[in-house]
Amino acid sequence: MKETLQEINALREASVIGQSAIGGAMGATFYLEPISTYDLDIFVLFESPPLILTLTPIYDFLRARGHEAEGDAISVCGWPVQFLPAESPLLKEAVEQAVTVDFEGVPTRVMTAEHLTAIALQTGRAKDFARLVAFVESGVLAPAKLTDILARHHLADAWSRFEAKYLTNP
Amino acid sequence: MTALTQQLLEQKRQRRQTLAQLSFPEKVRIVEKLRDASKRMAQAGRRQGLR
Repeated sequence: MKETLQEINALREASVIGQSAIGGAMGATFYLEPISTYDLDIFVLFESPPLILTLTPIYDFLRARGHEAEGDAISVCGWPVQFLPAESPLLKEAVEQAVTVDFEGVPTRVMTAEHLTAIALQTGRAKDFARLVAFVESGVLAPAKLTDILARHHLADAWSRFEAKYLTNP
Repeated sequence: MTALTQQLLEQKRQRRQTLAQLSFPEKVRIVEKLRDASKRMAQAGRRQGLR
């Protein structure tokens, strides 16, 4: 993983991408217990977004460094990495406000727990709700920060429905 | 819920908390092992014609 993260940083250093951050299951793993996943989700911003958004420059850069495309991901030092453009306002904010952590000497950006929670709520698959419960039970969420994010991204009602369905004791 | 079930659930909760407190690299190593085990099980299933 360390080498994978170094390659992702190389993309930024070469200005192929703007800021990026780990999201998805691996992002949640930073805050929670380890979550089984096959790939690493990297959400990316582009410094000057082209008219038509394409991931080709990322793939070209990594292929030139010996990495192979693998379905909808690219295998980077043993980890399938899925690059996802941070297009929505919530994803954009999540990348911009990600925290920098040290991974065995490699600076690595991870989305905040509150943004990961809001994104899981917005995505809304069964596994996202399971993750939301895990986030709530872990006690890592800052309530005021989460409430602010949910309100600004029009997710307050969705959160109320989630609370009523999954967090209310019978 | 029986007292035994409650006790087991509490133990699970504590185990999850302990795992959550590991460093990020330690957790990633566990994720890698989970992923490899999952792949091996899927491959074994395919060899036995289960999928």
